[in-house]
Amino acid sequence: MTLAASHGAVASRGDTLPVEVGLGFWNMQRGYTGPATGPAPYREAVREVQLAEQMGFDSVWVAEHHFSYDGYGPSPLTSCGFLAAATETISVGTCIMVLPLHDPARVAPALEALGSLAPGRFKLGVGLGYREVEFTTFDRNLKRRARIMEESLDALLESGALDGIELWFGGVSEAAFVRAARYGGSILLPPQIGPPSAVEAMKGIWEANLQPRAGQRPRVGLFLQAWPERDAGRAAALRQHATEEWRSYSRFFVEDPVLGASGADRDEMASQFASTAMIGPSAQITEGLLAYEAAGVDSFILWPRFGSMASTVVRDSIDELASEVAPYLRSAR
Amino acid sequence: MSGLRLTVQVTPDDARAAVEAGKLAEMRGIDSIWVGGTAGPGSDSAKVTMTLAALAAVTDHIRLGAVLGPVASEHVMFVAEELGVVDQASGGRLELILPSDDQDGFVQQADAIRRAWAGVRLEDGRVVGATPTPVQPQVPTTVLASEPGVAEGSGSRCVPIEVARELPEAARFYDTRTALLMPESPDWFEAPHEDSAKAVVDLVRELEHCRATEVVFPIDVGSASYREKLGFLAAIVHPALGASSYEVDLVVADALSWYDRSADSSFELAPLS
Repeated sequence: MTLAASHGAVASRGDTLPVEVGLGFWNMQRGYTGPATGPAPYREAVREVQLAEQMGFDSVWVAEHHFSYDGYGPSPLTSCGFLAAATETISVGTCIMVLPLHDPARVAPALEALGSLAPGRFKLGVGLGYREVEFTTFDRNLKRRARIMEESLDALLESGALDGIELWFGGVSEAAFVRAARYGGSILLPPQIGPPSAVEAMKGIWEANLQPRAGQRPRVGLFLQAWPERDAGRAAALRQHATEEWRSYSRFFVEDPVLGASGADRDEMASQFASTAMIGPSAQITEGLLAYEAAGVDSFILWPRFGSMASTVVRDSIDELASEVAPYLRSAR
Repeated sequence: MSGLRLTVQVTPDDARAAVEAGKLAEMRGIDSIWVGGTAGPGSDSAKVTMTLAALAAVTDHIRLGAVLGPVASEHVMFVAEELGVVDQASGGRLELILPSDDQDGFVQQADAIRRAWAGVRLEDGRVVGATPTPVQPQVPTTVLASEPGVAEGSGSRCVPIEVARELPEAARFYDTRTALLMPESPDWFEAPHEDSAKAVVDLVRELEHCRATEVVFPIDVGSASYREKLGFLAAIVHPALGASSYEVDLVVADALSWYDRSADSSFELAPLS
C-alpha cells in the first residue's frame, strides 16, 4: 500500500510511515539543580517551542506529575493549550497524561477547547501512572488504575471527545502494548525499554494485537534524551546533569523518602536511567537513533529539555538536532 | 475618576475566538478580560482555564479573569492546579471571579481553592498542596453577585449595574472594590448612535457616584460586530472612564469625533490587526 493510498485509512500492518521527529519535555519545572523563582520556565518554554516549530520539528510534548515542589506541570492539557497558542503549525501532545487520575467529564471539554485552539494539532498520550500520593489525593484506587483508564477511554470514545485526535499509549509492559493495540493506538516507548532488539519485541506484540481505529495511522514512538555535544568536557557536564535530574526524578518512583527506598537505590536508579541518554557528537546520536528506526520506531521524541536546564543549552540542542540529526532520521525512509 | 478599569467578558465556548478577542482587547488597551459564564453551574472550569492558559501565551499585560461556577469538590484540586499554571504562565495576571448568590457559597468556593494551594490534609496525615502555586501572593478575587450584600467584607464585589442603580445606599461600597457588570446590550453599545456620547457620560457619572473601580462589558465573540464594539469601548469608553466628571463631556466629545474621523480615514495611525 502506498502512503497516499493509506492516508486516512485505518491501521494496516506493514505500512511504512515517514519518520516524525518531535521534542520534549516542557514540564515547566525548576528544581534544585537550577533554582529560579517565578514564571521563567513558562517564558522559556514559549521561546523554545517556537524555535522547535521554526526548525521544522513535528511535535512538542509535555508530561504530568502532581504536587511536586519544583512546579512540575500538573495539567498537561492546560499546558498543551498554552504551547498551542504560542505556535501555529507544530503538533502538541501529552507523553503522558495519567488518565486514571482524571474525570472524563472534565477531560472532554478540555479536549474540545484544545480542538478549537489547535485544530488537528493535538496528540493524546495516556498512561496508567504509578505515584501513590497522586492516586490517594485524587481518591483513585491505584490497584484499579488499568480498569479506570479503560473506562475513561471508553467514555471519551463513546462521547466523540476523541474524534480526530491521535491516541498514544505509554508503558513498559506487554499488557500496556496489548491495550494500546486493542484501542488501535500508537505506542510510546520510554528510554528504559532497552536496546533496539527490545523495541522490536514489543512492536511485535503490539502489531499482533493491533485493531483498526478510524482515522489513526498507528505509530511506534520512542522518547529519549539526546544532547548533541562535540566537546568531551561539556558532554561530561551534561551527563552529570542528566544523572542528577534522574536522581531528582527518581523520588517519584519510590515511596515517601521517610518510609521508602534507600538513597543507594535512588543512586542506582539515577545512574541506570542516565545511561540511556544519548550525549555526544551528532553523528553518534544519529547512528544510535537509526538503529531504533531499523527496529521499527517511526516517531522519535528527542529530549533536549530535562528539568532545570539553562534555556541557552536547550536552544543550542534544538538547533543542532534540527540540522544534524532530524534530517538523517527523516531520510531513512 | 482615574484608574477605573475596563474589562470585557467572553465565554470559553469557542476558545479560539475568545483568545483572538483577548489579543484584540489587549492591542486596544482594554485592561482586563474575564473568561467564563456569568453565573451558575453552566460555567465550565476546564474550558475556562484552557482558554486563559492560551491567552497567557499570546498576551503580555491584560489581566486574566477566571469566572468559575460552582466547582465540584472532587475537581477543586485540578482547578487549583490549572489556575496556578495560568498565573505562572501569565506572570501573575490571574484573577478569580466567583458567581454566588449567598455569602456562604462565595466564601466556600474561594476557600476551597485557597486551601488546595495551601495544602489539604489526607486521611493519613500527609499535607498535599497544588503546585505550581500562583506567582501572586494573593490572587485578586471578586464575587459576582446579584445583590450587594453577598461577600460583605470580602474586599471586592461585582454587581449588575441594574442592581447598583436601584440601590440608594450604593455609596456604602466606599470601602470595597466594586465592579459593575453592564447589561448584555445597552443600546448605545450594541449600536452606537448620536446619543451614545451622552450615555457614556452618564455612565461615568454614575460610576463615580457608586465609587466603582471597574466596569465589565460582556462581549459575544460569535457576533460579527464584536470587533467594532471593542473598538468603541477602547476609543470612547476607556478614555471616559479615566476622566473626572468636570472634563468627561469634553473628553467623550473629542474621542467620539476622533473615532468618527478615523473611521472615515483611509489609513490608521496605529494599525490594530
